[in-house]
Amino acid sequence: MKFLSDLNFPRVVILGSLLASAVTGYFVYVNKARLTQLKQDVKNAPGVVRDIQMAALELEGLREAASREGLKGEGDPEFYIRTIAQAENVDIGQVEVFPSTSVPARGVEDRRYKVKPAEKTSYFRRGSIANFLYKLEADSRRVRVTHVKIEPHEKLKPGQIGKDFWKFEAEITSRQAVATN
Amino acid sequence: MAKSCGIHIGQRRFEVVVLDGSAKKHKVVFQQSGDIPLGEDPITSTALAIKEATKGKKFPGENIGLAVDSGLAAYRTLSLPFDDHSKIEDVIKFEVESQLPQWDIDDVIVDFLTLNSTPGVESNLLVTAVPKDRLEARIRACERAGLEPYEAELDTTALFNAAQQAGILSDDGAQVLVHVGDASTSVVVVDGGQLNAMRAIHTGAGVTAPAPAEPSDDLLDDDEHEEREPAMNPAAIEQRRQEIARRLRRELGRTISAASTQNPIEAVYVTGLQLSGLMDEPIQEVPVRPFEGLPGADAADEGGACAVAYGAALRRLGGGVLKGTLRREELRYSGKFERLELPLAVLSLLLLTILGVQLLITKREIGWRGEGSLSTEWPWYVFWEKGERAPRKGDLQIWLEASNAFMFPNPDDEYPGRLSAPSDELVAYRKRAEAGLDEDRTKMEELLNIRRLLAIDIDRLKRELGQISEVEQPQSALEGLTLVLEVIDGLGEQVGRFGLRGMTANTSQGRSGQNDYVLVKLDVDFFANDDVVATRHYNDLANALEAERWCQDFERKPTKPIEGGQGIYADGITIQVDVSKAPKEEG
Repeated sequence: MKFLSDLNFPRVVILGSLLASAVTGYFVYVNKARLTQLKQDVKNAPGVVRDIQMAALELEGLREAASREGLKGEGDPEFYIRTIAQAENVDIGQVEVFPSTSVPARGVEDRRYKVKPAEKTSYFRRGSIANFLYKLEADSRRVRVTHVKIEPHEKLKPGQIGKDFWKFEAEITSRQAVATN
Repeated sequence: MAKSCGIHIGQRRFEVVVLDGSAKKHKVVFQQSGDIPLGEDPITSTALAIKEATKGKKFPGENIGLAVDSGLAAYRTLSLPFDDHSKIEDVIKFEVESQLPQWDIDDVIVDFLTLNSTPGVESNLLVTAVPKDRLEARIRACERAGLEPYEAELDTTALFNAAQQAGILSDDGAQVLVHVGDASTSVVVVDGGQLNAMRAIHTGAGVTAPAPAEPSDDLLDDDEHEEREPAMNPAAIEQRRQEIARRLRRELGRTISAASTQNPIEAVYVTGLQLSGLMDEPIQEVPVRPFEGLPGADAADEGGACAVAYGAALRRLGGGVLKGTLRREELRYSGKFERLELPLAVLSLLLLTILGVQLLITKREIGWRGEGSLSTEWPWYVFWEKGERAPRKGDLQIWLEASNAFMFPNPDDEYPGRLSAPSDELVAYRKRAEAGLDEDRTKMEELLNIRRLLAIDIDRLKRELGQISEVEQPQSALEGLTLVLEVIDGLGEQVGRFGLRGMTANTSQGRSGQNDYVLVKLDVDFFANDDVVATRHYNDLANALEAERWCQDFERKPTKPIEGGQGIYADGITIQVDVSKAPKEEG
């Protein structure tokens, strides 16, 4: 090309400047795009930080709840039941726990724990039984009382009013997902 | 096929010729000559005259050649002990300076033609010198007419080229070529087809115009040589022309006598303006003939009046042997692009500077908005500073650090933080992000990553606590029993006194897509003064339970009277409860 064959200083400057401008222009374009994104990020930052703080508060709340949780993770349910049985305002005393499992549906396992007072002849006030059953569910979100049987401690005939002492049996169930092959 | 244009500008006349074709084969497509009127600005006058003559015609851009009156020039011969063209170019001005005492060497354009040379030993040159201002005036005139010439030469070289093309020159003869101009006459001696000599006779055939009233400083005027013609009548003009013809014949005779040619001079060929008496008789027994043989020449051509313009146009087509080059130094031809080179160079440098500044500014702004500069060391180009410098944090870095400061505990300040016991992973990532070590993420992405890590911990704890589970826990028999007992308790007087002799609640699995449910069984005594009231109590209880949304079924059992007329009892009252339909407690 005539332009290149007759190169002189101004033409070298033109060529060099245009080439350098093209490269610089590309980087300016990239930086401008990045800057636009950064400005948007700065605009969004307060919202994200607010979310982080809210999440931190939620996490702290859950951590505290977890510290109060009776049955945690893979904790021992029998230990859990017995601990509650001896809790204040429950005073059920020693209990027998009979574990069993069942599969109500594919991929699901029910871990059942039948609870009976260790002493067959034991009897309790309604409040103690109620507190016991209530705490079994309240202190863990992973169990449900799925069987309750409460009877007067002495057999009563119809119309007969006995003393306010009762015997009971209960069953708690913890349903979990299990891996299926 | 290419086109070329040749312009010949004399004192008071101009010729324009346009050729179409190639150097060897072409035709004249346009040929025009005319007078240059007198005017205050001779350049403008010339330009207007040429423009008028060429109005409506298209002319080739860079293929325009200009031939100027040789009366402007001085001719000298020079011998140099070398024949290298570039070396001659370097020294020619210096060598000829002493032979041109009438001019400052810097005020003239010097060109040369090689008459003969011995390779590497010697070269004999015919040097021509033309004042720059006069040459420039003619170039500017053409430029204003829209016909800027790419190259300029003397009319003698153009005449030589035209003669060669016309076939006038021969290898075994010598010729004298004469162009009669309006103010001067150009003479070229050719020997064996080679240039032998050139000269200008400062007498021309232009005697028709009246003399100007005052001496003119017109650039187109050849002040040194022009004879101011007084106003004349036709008879006087004719007489004057005859005198000029006689003078020219004498000068030509001297030229013929003085010419040292190896071959005998065959003829004198005359072109340009017609002068009666010039070609009537031989000069020194050398016949005088008109210039013939040029393409496009006819009776209207007045004997090849445009031969010089033709020669200039031929040169631009690539033809011609002699290549006069008068557009040199500051008069060098610069095309449109050449003229724009310097401004373009400045503009492109300016563009580069602007873009460079933009780049710096955007880079700075990115730092201000993003992470900034966390380094405590001074950059290499700030060599005068010692010690550490404070990090310059960007906006997002500040947001990140502030968020972390609120979230994490700080034992130094006894600040408990929103998270009393953050996970190790979160603590580690906080340090990495604040130090700018996470190079895979932008600052915003680092904030989002912290949010993501918190969400993972939240999810994990919720699962541990059973708040979210992949499987739904079974319905609570305790809750089902409680719902039933709440209704009984809520009825108050409506159900009267009652006794519960047994309560059982069992969670059962629903069948065929139905919800699970709780089956509550009660053994109930309804105390009242009579059976009717007791039965009403029982019915009211049944109705109340059946009215509940969560009560799917109430299986009434047969009632029996209590001994002693105290009321009635029913054993095994079964209530099917769907706990999922019970109203949920708020909070």
